[in-house]
Amino acid sequence: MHSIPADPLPPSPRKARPRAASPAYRAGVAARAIAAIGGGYLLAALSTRALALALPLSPVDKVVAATLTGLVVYPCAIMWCFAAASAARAWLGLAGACALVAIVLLLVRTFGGAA
Amino acid sequence: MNDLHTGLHTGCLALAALAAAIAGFAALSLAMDRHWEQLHGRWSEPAIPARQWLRAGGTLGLLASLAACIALRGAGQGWVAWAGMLTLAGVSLALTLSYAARGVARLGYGAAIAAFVASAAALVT
Amino acid sequence: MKEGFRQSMAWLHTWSGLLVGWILFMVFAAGTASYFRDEITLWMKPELHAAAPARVSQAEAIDLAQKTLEQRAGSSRRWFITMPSARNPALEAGWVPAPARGADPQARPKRRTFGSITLAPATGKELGKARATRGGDFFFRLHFDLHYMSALWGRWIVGFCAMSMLVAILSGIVTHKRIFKDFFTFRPARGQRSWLDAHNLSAVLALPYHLMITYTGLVTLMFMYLPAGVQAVYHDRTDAFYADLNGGPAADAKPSPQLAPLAPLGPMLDEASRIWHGAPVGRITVNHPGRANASVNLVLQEGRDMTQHLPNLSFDGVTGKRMSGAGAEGGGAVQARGVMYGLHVGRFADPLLRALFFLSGLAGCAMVATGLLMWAVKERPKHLKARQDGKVAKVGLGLRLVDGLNLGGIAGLLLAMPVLFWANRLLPSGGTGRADLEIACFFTAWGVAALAGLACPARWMWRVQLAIGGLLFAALPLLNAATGGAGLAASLKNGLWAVAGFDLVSLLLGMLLLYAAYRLGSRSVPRARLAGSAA
Repeated sequence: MHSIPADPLPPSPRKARPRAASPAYRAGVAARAIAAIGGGYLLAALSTRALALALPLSPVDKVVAATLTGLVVYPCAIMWCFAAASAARAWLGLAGACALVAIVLLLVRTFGGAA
Repeated sequence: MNDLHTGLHTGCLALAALAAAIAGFAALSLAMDRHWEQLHGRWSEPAIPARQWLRAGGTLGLLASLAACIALRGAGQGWVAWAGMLTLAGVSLALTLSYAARGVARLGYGAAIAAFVASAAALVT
Repeated sequence: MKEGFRQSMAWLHTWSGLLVGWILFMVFAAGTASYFRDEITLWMKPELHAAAPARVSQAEAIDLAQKTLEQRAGSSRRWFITMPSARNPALEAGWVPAPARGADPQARPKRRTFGSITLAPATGKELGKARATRGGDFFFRLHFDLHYMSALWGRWIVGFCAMSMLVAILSGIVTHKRIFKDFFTFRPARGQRSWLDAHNLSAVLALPYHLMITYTGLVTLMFMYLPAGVQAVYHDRTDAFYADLNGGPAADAKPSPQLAPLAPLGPMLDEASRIWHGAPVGRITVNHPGRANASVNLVLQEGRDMTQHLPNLSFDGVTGKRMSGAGAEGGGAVQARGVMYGLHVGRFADPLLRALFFLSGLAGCAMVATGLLMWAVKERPKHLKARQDGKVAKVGLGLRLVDGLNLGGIAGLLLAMPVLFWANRLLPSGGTGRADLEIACFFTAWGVAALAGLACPARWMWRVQLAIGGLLFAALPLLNAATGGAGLAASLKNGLWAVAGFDLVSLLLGMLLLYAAYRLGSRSVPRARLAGSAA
């Protein structure tokens, strides 16, 4: 990863990773970005939908609470994608989370959700 | 005349809130090594009791500011006003520490006095 | 792993901030200006400066409005009335023009065809056809609708940037190791470190505000950005959802064919104010005046409460009787959203709170600007080294592009804003398309500045643009007095605080920019410089 030092003291020596501008590196960044932006949105949308059906509140409150939460899920998913140890991990993690939420959504739909 | 009255009351409370926040931040900043050094020379640091007093006093100042803000605008808006006051106070302290570090202690004392006077004035108006 | 996490968040912070930074700067600048959009609009309509705050009772004002509307817009489907307030002393009445004969009565009118009139509440005189101008609403709309494109596109672009900003803030918090130690730290004249300190200060000292404004900004349009929730529960019936959300009767009812005179509005306002413990009514919407199913919706005047979900009351238009519930409705989530919406728009804010919000907004502008500039400052030594090593012949494209965009996006915008106000006063006050022409001047100035910046991203160009912006801003009070507005002496004497405040803030801002231009000249050059390229 391109190291921008986090503290204001003189920059620490760059990590000895030659990948800095190589095609592999760029591909990794691109892969993470796609997972983050596209996959993250998918996760946010799925969680919003699941919450909107599952929360035991009045219809309008359900929708509002679910959407407010979805807005938080998205940046968290994005941060996860870039914090993950590799691009592959990012994709796997996100896909796993989406699958999990999708299952919850299915269950809620099948069993009617909260009133 | 009533408008002037309320205006004065509001102004005093606002001033008290700001002054208390400045005093609080002044104390908290001096409790930090980096800023204590600015006043007392490198490698010096506040003695442990002094640091504790500064921190306690600083926190008290900030809480007093919060109280003034809530008195000014009620519970909900009071917190919002406090956040804004803290921003203003923080910027003032940061600039003072950069350009007039020697004056921070005096600023702190002055602000504390101003806070007391302003709250007293607010109580009577 | 912890170090890796911090570093990856640092990387994310840099890029999520940089790539959308120039749009964000504009959003912050326009948004911060919007806190005073009514005041800006008033300044831009010098013809209205004569409506100095003559206190008129609510009853008198509403009677005047009702009479005027019955005269002008008797067959209209809907009236809108905005009562005079401290922020805007005029009485505004608007109406949807009655559909032309043969036209589909259900067709939604285009926005542009609303009729409106502004009245001086004390005299009832129509305020001298104030010149057509978007006023402060231009900046308000600019910061989420953008311009020269459909609002939908604009909102999606700004939404994307806002989400990127949220990511930047969160990753910035994670990355900033010494958030408490560096709380008050600012080391001037130390090159890269000073920029970092400035960025950290402007970010941390107003951190609650930045988090709030970004998240609540997304909240205001969240049903557009994340419709999954609405779709899941309401399926296609979005109208029903909004009716539930806003607590009012569905406004799309067909006009009844039966005619019936509209009951006097005064008593309705009196009753509403009584229910709201004396608080004045702010906005009135009359649906289908003159018909049997006329209804009147009254909304509490803004400024009393923190929520955007303002209490509203509905009255039957013919009998004058109250129809629906008295307070803000909706459960916890709806109310929470209302509070968040209200926090973002900040229209509740009295002068003190608004000033604090404005200050925090300026801190936000500083945060974005210092971040953008800091990236370039950090990149330059790398390019210098590469050049010294003989690897490259001149500055890389990326750095040059960022330098140019920084210049055009920051100094250029600060130059374009006063140009809008100069155009407002210098363009002839009559004629069609005047409002759009003012805006065209704004964008032309910005475009020229941006092109100049991209062509020569040098220090002298910064000084030139900052100086021009500073001069234009500082001269606004003079321009105001010279072109028919209430000059400082008059506005201060008559208590026209809106106009006086505008003049004073412009003067301050102008002096600040001029000072910045001056300092850029006399400061010693930081150590790492690329000869013949960006400063």
